Amino acid sequence: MNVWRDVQFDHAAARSAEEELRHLAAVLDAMTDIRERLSVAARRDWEGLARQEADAVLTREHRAAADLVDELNRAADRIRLGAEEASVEQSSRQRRRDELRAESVLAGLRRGQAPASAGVGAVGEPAR
Amino acid sequence: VNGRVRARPAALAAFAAYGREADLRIAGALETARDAVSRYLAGCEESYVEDPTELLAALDVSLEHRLATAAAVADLGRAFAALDGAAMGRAAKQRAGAGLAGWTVAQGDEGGLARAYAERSGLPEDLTTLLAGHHQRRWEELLTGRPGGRCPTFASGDYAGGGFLRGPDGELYPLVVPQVRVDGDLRNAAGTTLTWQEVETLRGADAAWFDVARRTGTTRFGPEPSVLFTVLAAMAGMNPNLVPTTRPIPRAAVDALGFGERGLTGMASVPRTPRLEAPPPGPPSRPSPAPPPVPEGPQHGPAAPGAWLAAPHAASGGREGLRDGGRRGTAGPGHGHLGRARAAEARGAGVGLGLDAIVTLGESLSLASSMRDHGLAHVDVRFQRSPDGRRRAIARSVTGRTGAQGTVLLPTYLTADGQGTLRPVPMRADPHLTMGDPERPLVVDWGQARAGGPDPG
Repeated sequence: MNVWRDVQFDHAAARSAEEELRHLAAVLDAMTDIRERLSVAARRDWEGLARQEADAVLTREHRAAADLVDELNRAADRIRLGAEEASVEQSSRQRRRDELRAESVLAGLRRGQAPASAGVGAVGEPAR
Repeated sequence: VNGRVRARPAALAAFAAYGREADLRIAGALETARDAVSRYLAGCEESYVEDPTELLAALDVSLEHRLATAAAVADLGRAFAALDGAAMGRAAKQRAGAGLAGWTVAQGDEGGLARAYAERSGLPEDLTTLLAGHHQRRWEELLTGRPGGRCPTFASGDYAGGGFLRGPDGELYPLVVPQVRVDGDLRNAAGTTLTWQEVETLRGADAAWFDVARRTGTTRFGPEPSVLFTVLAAMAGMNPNLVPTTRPIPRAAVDALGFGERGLTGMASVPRTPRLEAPPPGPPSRPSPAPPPVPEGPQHGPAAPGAWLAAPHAASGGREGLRDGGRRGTAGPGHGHLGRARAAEARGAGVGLGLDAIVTLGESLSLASSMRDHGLAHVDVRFQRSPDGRRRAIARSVTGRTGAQGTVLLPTYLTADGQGTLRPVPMRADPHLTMGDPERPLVVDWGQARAGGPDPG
């Protein structure tokens, strides 16, 4: 891990992806609910082999939709968690950089040097 | 099972129409989410990323299943209505006596239903039920048979078009308009100087196509009816005198266009729904004896009762389903139904209403359909593949007007615009084609194209 390198993470894009996944889950849930109600009306007074197939197919499709709603929400949760982890990691690197710079200054003082001048950073720090 | 079947056709139609509308809204949200996820994946380090691409692909497959189910249920609804032709008449009578609350049950036996289904599933009454969105990149990929493929061009011609039709195998076929270069000008129709074979093989440069299926018949294209129109049509449907009949295009006139070796079959006009007239006294009668469209290619109706809705699912196989020419559960770019879904969202029809209103409107859809004769066309759709894995669909359409001066045929290709709506593209040929009885000539009107009509593509 290179503490001098920022974590590459587009938080705005992550927020957007999270929101769109939650929106998609909500639309899927609501539209599936409408579809289920329509299917109830369609199956009223419907008899025959096709009805039996319809029962099986529609049940399978609506169950799959419910699973997908859950999975989409979980994926949105994980995106948020990933964003939080990226933020934590970025803060951690920032702290570590500050520590390394402080250590560099202290080391210079011990050697009788003046505090680090502009453009001189800690070991490994890219030139500014 | 005692072999008897019964259902409410209007309820099946309502499920199909509004279930599909709901699914297309999901497809719109899916496409938006896919875009957002793409930006997220591009902008973030992998170690902090949750990649939902596979999940979105699973939803896409699931939506295709649901849309296929809706199409199958729509076919079943039409089959039930045809099975018991008096049902619509009884519905009209109920409406006259008890408002729009009437729900008529059609009944018959499994064998009759299978026959009616096979007849009715050749080409949907509304071709847009086969339409599966518009996405240029995907269109080109399917036409070239490889990911990232670009639209092929040849010295002798190229392809225009857009959108997809879902074939009887459940797969998407890009709608194309073949164009042949003649003296630097692009032609897309057979005239006296070109044959259809020359046009569709781009003068032999792209010849390795074979028909997977062919569907012909009377159908409709163009924008779907608005809710307002549907309600008005339902009200008008109470008065059978307001329901026009479809005027047939003379068979000889259509044959003259040379759509295939035998011309279009089933060209006699088929009323989309039985007229809303009071049922005749006595036992229920069968619907109008007008001949149904006769598909020329392989049939995909059920060979025997009991396989109504299973086929689309078998073709896709669930979340790990086979799709897009053999890739399993992958989320290639451009899947989905964006244009169609956005158009549906823009219309905002139906799904926001209460269930009772939805069902009532669903019932009225079938009534409204009998009023839209002006949108009817005779269509010949061929779903084709090539040995190297390419796909295409060519949809040729003809509408006609018969008047005192003779019959004028307006031949077009059907393709989809950027909003995923089926549009006619004028056929361009040279020279002008006139034939038949000099007193009542048959005129193929290429004039729209010559006058600078919209170019495809």
